[in-house]
Amino acid sequence: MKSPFKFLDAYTINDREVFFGRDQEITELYRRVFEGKMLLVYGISGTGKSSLVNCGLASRFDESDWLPVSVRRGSNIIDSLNDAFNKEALTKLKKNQSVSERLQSIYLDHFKPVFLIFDQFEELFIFGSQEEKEGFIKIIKEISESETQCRIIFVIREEFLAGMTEFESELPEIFINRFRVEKMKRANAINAVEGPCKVYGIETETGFSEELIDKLCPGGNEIELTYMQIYLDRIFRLATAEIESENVKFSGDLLARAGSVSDLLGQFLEEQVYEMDVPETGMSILKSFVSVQGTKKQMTAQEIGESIKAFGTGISEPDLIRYLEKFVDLRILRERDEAGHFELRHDALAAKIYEKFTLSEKELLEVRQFVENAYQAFSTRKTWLNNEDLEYLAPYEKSLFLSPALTQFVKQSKEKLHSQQRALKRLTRIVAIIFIGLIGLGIRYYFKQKNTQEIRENTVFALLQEKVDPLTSINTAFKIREEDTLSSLVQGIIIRSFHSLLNGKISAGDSSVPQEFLPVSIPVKDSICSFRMNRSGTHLYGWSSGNEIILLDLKDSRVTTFSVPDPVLVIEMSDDAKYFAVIYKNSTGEVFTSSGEKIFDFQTSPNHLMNNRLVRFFPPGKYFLAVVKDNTAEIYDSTGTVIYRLEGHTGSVNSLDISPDGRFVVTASSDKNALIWNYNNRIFKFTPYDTIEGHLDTVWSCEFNKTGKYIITASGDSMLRISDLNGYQRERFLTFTTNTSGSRLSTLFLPSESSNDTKQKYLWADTSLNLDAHNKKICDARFASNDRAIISSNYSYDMPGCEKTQGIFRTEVVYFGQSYNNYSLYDYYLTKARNKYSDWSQQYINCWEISPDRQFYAAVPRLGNDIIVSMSNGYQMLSLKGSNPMFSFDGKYLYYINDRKLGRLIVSLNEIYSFVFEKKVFGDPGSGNLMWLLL
Amino acid sequence: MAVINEDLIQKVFVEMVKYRPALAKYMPDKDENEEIDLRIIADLVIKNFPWPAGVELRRLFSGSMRQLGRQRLDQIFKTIERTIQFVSFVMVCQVWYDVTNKKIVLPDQVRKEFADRFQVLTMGNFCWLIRALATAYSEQKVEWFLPEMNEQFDKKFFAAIDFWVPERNEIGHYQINLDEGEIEKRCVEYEEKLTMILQRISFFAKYRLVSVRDIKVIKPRIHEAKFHHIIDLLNSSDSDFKGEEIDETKFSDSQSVLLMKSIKSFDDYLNLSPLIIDTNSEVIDAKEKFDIRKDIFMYTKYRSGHLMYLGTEVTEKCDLRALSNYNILLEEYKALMLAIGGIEV
Repeated sequence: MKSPFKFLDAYTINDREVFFGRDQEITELYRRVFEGKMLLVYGISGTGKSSLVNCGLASRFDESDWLPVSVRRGSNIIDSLNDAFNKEALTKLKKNQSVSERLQSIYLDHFKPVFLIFDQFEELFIFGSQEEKEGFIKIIKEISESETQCRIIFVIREEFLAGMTEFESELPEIFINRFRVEKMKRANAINAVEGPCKVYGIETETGFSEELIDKLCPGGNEIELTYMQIYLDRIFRLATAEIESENVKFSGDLLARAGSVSDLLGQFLEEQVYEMDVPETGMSILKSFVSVQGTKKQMTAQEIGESIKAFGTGISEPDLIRYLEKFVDLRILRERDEAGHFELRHDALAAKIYEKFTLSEKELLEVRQFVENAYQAFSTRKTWLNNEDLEYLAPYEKSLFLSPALTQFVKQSKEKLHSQQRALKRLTRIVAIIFIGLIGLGIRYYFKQKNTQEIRENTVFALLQEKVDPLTSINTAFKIREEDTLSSLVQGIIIRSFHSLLNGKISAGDSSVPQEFLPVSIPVKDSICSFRMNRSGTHLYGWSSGNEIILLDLKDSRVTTFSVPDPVLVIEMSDDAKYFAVIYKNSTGEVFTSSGEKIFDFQTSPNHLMNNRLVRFFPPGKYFLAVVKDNTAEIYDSTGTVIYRLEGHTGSVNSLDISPDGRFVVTASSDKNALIWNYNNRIFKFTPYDTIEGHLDTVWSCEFNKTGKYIITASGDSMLRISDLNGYQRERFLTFTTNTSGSRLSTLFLPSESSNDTKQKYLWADTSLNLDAHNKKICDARFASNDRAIISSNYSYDMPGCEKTQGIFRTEVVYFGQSYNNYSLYDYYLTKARNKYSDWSQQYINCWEISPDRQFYAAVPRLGNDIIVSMSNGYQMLSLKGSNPMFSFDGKYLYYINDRKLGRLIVSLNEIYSFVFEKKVFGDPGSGNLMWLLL
Repeated sequence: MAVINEDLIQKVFVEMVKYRPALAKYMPDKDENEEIDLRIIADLVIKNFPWPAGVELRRLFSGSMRQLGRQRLDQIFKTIERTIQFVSFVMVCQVWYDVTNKKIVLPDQVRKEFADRFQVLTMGNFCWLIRALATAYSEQKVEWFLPEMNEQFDKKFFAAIDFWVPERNEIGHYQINLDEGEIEKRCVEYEEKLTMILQRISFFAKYRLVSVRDIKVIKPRIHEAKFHHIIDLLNSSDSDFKGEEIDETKFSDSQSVLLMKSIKSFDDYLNLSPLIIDTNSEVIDAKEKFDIRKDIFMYTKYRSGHLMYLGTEVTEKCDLRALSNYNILLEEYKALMLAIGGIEV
């Protein structure tokens, strides 16, 4: 015989015939459900809320007026809601449909008012994340505001009612329509006992129900329904165990045999657990179904398997399933649902099981719940456990036995935290370093500023001292230089002071002056026309207006002179200083030894403009001399025989040069080309190696650089060309172009495919600057300062500001070079140009020389008899009386000619230092300090 | 819903569109080969009938009634009964008004029979009411409040509604037991007949059934009085009626269920009280009122000074004597009976 009593299960619509004792509540509930769109049904655990709604209320509706959609939270209430919709929908729901559209569709499928019943609603507050709750509230709000035919019933345990206040702000009406389910009263309880008995034909002895109720609540008026259900079930089992027929009778005797009702549930639980093979294991399994609040929770078999480890129990999956099935049979657990969840039949059972928890187990449960909640939050919001969370977890980690997903979550949280901490440390370190650096920079800046101020003050001192006490001035300047090595002013002070001291001593005929500083007399009768250094830097040579050739050995300052018969146009010395080639103004030439012994004659063809490169000596070897002759160049041997003639130009050859290794000869011609010649071993003669094309006018000069890899040509078309000689068939031609960009003028040597690039712009095209000197044709160009500068000779037939002259007006211009691609105008000119001196001649320099390190520049202006020595930044350091400035190869000295004497200016500060401080040539440099201090 | 109800829905809807052209947008565009969602059309049919008829139609369309079984058969009976009841009540209310205003004089026979029949209403009584009153109006050429009644309530219609009386009595009251096959057959047949009647009364879609829950007077000092009406629209498929608030320079009858020609104006309406009442506005402020359900009720009988009603949504019987306006309803009923039936009750 089937029991009419539901034990711990809730009543459903199918149990309406045995649902008694709740008529008043049902009536009230039925009335309230139409009061509004939402109804809140609450009460303490075990009062039968779910039964009241799912059975009592449901039975009041006709089938066509009641479409219940029951929703349990499961793992997520929103997902469960959607699952419930999908279950009820006859027409497939679309993913992009809103909740109200889905509800409407379900209504239209069934044409029954929908009743959304959220049973065990407290699970949302026990297990749900904040995000889940917020999402759920939005859904409920949408439903309540829509016109969908739907009413919502929340069934919730009373103790969690406060949690509903979260909903109130969005759903203010949520508490308006509510119904509290109270414990069943005695009279109703009697009805609840007798009613099912009558329906099932169970005879009850007179007074049985009253006696039963008395036993359940002696002296009280409220019945624990769970106890009543369990007790009735027990009585029924007792009754049916004894009687085989269908005539079951409930009697007082049965009641007595059923035993005490005190802790009925606890007893029941213990009895059932005792039935297990290993009761401890059974209890551990049951404990898995209890939440930290002591309520029941749904669990899958896998989750249980993980969870019970925390209770110190391990179990295989088959054994676990066996236990679970047994618990289902014993009516402690419900049947597994579609999602694979098991759960306790009643919260009362959960409360009883919770009493069995030890303190540490409760703690572990709390911690486990904490991790599960955190994992849920992570699933939606990607928030990891923070440091505090991990510290909280740490003592329990080993005992938790979390599922693999949770374990991974904890592990990754730790890794994240560590990497964040590392990153923070790194950042802190970087910030500290930057901060310290900034402080350091600040301090440094402060001291630098202080230093700069001191330097300025000392520089002013040094300047003041220079005129009065050059030695002290040098001392001060060197002290300044210890702090500031770049100051041109300080350098100038040192050099000027030293020069002043030296000149003073020389003028005074002081014998302590080192020999090397004394001017070297050049014993010629007439004025010196030209004086220059040979390519190897070992000798100086020149000639006088009296046709005397001068040779000076820089090593020992020995001077050799000899006379030549005719007025000299230009002379050239061999690199080894053994030979001279003298070209006379009558276009003839002679070769002499350095002692003046004539070797042979030769013919050449000078021009009106550029005669510096009419003749060149070969390095010691097979060939001796190359000479310009009309449209050719002739190569002589040492006996004076023309051994080769370089024929190829269609115009007169103006210049030639020989590469430092003697392999190549370059000739510049009026035919607007320059030809590169090379000895051809197959045909045993010099042939053109390649042609430098692109000039638009006479090519006046050509010169190899120090390495012999580049050739610079200068033309009357105002262009300089640097050609790359790499030995291949076709050289890469770099065309000289200029580019004006603002105030900074630069000359750019850009690769160009066409040699006739007409897009060139000229330096002097910028009319904002007065750069007349450069607006000229070019007759010569040479590399200087180890090829890092170019000095060009520019010419014109007009002098600016004057009427046409009959002569040729020349000037030299300096270009700095960063590379063979990039040369820029020496600042000296820009300074002049920016100042817009009305006197154009300020820019005109007869002769430029540059020190090898490009620090110093010596210029002989067009006007005046001085040599202006300036620095790379254009600062004019000093002026010397004289001409023909030449820097020594080591850059230490500047040689110059002053009234038939060779003067020497030390420009090397190290040298000056040595003489002043080490050799103390001028005495103790610090002797004047005290006086200046006092001043 | 498949085949069951489909014919009914489509035919009734087509008729409704004639009276309420705005519904035409839900008709499928045949040129575009559009398919209609029959569910939506069914919902529109429900909503565009007055609530007492609409709610029964909803039940007929519901999932549990889609099998050709006894349940469906009973529901068809119920639907026709409630529908005819409603129609008859509309007519009676107008008659009461017209008689009182001497627009019509009912024949004595009609009056006498009215007095006999009206205190206990049955399907047969509803049918009689419709026929008798329609005939009287037709003979005296008095216009109905709903002019469509003049055209639609003809002999054919009367015959159609008369058909139901014996069927209802025999089959509906289980005086004849039918087997499954017969039930199925009847379901189909009755659906067709129901369709015909619903088509004939589809003009109701043009009118709105409202419940005036409250009227507030707004009378600033120098302005004309305005009457703020709080109403529920009873054309709904759910008892969660949509509320509206309308300000009018006139006032209607409060705490009444009205059949209105247009919701925008209270110029033309028919008060259906005390035959159809709304208890939704009743405040349950006394123990005696606990049993009062919030619903639209229709009068069923009068016995021993007690007016009895039956809910439309709440299917159980409900004693409404505790209603705050019960006495007024009683008065109205007595006045109605006196005016039409010529008797004092």
